[in-house]
Amino acid sequence: MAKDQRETGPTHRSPEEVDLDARRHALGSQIDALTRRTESQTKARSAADTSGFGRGFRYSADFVSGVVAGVLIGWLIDHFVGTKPWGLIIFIGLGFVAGVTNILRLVEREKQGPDPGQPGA
Amino acid sequence: MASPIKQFEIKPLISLGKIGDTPIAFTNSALFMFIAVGIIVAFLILSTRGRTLVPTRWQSLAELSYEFVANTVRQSAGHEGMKFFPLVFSLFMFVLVCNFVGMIPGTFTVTSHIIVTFAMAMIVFLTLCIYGFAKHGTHFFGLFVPSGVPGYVLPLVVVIEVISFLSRPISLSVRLFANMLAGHIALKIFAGFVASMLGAGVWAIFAPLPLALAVGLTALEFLVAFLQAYVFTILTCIYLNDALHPGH
Repeated sequence: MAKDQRETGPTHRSPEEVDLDARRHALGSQIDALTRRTESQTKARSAADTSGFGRGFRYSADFVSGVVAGVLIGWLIDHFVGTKPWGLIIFIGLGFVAGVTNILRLVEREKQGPDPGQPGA
Repeated sequence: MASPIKQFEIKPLISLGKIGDTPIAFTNSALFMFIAVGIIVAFLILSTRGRTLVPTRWQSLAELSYEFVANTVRQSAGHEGMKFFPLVFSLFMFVLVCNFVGMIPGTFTVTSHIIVTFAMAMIVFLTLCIYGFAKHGTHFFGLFVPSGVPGYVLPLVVVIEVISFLSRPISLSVRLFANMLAGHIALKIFAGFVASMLGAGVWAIFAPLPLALAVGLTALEFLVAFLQAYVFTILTCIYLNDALHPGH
């Protein structure tokens, strides 16, 4: 809108409008600077999170949790359906697969870069 | 040497009788949960009492923690995710303060018990499931059906996806619990080495080595305490994002 007014001629522009424009520009650049700072902070944070120790913990927790979930499901099925030991055997295997899937998904997410808001979960 | 796992013992402080055969008591774990909540409430109430446009130190600390969590939620779950902000902020502050209180020597680390972290993970998980069902109905099951999978392996893939989904609260709780447990045990062991080396005659000259390690580990533990609270928060946001947008 401000641009339109500028193009129709400088005669329409009062001193207040010029002042307003200048203030708006100043505010705009301030907001830009702030946004940039937030972005760089986010990057620094994700870099801190990708230490080897942290990554190791992350991968192992994701893998183990898949196996544990599989064991729990298998055990519960055996317990309630009475298919001992087949539920446990099958679901441990599936749990392994789920654990590997978890890790692959994590790696995929890290490869895409931490930027879409998932800094090395 | 003092036992490294003695610090995780739960002691009943006030006995409140029994339900069935299970003794109900106010334990040291409960006490430190109350302390953590008390610290959070006191911090937030006191720091926002005299609200000014130019924040004081305490007020800016409160604003900083708000901004930090709000940014995390917005980045991971979008603006829609802000409706979960109260839950995420409470979890973050609770985990963070519990971790930091646990760093004070002689205190009890609430988050080093898997039942506590698992309860928190289940709160997140149940919120996710209930909200997902309420919002999307059966469309929520789209979470388990990845696109572009040929029909003959689909049943297998769906089962694996379900297991992977159910493993989330486990991985969420195990991460926090294992980190805190391992860190505190390592600290205790290295600190114990100092004492036993000092008492071992000539070997006392090596005592500063584990002492230096213990100092370094303490710094690392503070980092881990913050990082794990942050990881817990961001994973919560990522999982909640799935409840908001299950179609991928």
